[in-house]
Amino acid sequence: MSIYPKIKDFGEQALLLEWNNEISLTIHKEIMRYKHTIDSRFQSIVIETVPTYASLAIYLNKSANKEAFISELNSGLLLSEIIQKSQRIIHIPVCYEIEYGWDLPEMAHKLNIPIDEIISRHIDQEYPVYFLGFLPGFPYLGGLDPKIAFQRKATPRKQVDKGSVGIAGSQTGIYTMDSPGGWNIIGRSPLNFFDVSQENPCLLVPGDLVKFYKISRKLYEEIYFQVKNQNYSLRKEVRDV
Amino acid sequence: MFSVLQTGIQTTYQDLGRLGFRNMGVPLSGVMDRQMAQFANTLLGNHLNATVIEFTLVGPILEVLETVEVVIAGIGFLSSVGGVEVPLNEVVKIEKGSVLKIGTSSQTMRGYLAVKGGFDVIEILGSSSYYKGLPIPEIEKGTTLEIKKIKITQPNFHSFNTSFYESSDLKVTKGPEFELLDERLKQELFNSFFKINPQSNRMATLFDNTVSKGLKEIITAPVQPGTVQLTPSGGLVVLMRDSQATGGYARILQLQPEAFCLLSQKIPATSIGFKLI
Repeated sequence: MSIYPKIKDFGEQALLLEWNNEISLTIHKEIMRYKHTIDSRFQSIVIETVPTYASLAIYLNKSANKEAFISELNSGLLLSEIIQKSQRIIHIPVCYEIEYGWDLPEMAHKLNIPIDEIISRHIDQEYPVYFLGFLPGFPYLGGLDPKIAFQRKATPRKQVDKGSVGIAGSQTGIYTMDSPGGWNIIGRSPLNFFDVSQENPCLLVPGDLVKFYKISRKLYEEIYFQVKNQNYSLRKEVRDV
Repeated sequence: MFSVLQTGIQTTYQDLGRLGFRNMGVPLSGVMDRQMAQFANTLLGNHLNATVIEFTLVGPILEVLETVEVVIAGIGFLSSVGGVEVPLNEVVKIEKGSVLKIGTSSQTMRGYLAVKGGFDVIEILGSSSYYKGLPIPEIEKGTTLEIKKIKITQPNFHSFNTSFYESSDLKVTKGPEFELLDERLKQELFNSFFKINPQSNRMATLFDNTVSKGLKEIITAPVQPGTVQLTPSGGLVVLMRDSQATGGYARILQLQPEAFCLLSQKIPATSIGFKLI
């Protein structure tokens, strides 16, 4: 079954496809089907497509005939089936010590949940990667336990360190580089999430599942140097879907 | 080749930007005023995407290590070679051993230095445009600026209409959340002037004044250079070339490409208005 998106204008050579304004896996899968179909079928006129939770931006090149493209979309696009037989589950080590998890004390206090329980609730879930944005390779992860959802900070910090794991509302995510930011920081991962020297610069891509696991400060440092010396092997598994 | 004696302000390598990586969260980047940079490259017979140097309010001072043809594109940036004034927006040949000094402008925000052949800079993800977080070199005091040795097509005569930059009307179309504005707010938006805040940069243009009412945040959705956002407290933000590819504020307007070039040249404390087309 297909859910038809609304087509909206988005400036001179750009369009938006919009679905129901919610965060859901059903919509996410539909957006990825559209993205896949448009990327492969309209290569000659599409520069790039950018998915988010409930919309897909389509950027057309200068020579593209936007009206013709819209009428083609309106006449009902025959969607390619994404034949996804398997899904990657990526295990991400995180040190949740207060030294890295700056906002754990405040969250524990305001949510009235002990720090250990916030951590265990964060570790318990598997998080689907919905899309990348905000910073190069920054994964927007859905599926956070509602008990530990927490509003973004009123004033963003001037600097959040690379690898910081944060919570903003009902989302969790990972800062892939040093950046200003308003997410509540609960820990830090020693991994590299964006590296242009790799063929695929992003460690995580939409469609992956992320599972966090807790590491000590000592292990954080060990992994940090393994990553730096390029002899760390990522823990991942592949699951049939 | 040049050696950098003084950098000027926010002096960076830029081309037309990094296409095709926004779904990885990598911004477009590239020159802010495309019209002006393309004009400079066209005069020299360069490819339109040749790498230029963008500077902001104050230009760099460069020692010329090899005789070179350049175009300094901009308005009001008083420039000289060995103390003798040189024209802007024309091809200028500069002899080895002299010092090129690009001054300060009080009229427009940005200028461009283009060289015949283009600057020779590493490409990361298909572009030489500087973006913090990608390993494109920064331009610092002492940096050597290399020039590409490539065959140039016939230079093109091209005139440059500087009066374009005198307008303060930014042509816009409706953004995805435009219809969430009530009539009064729309009136206010199109019948007010907005004064550019000095905190503005290559990521966003901010304004000193607000409108009387804001809009609630949206769930994170695509944004692009030229997207005009309205924050919950009534602040307006226009996203520029280094902006992220996604954002959480209501997207009420979208600048036309020429309006984007115009805005990128407006200096702080000047005012602009939005005109719906």
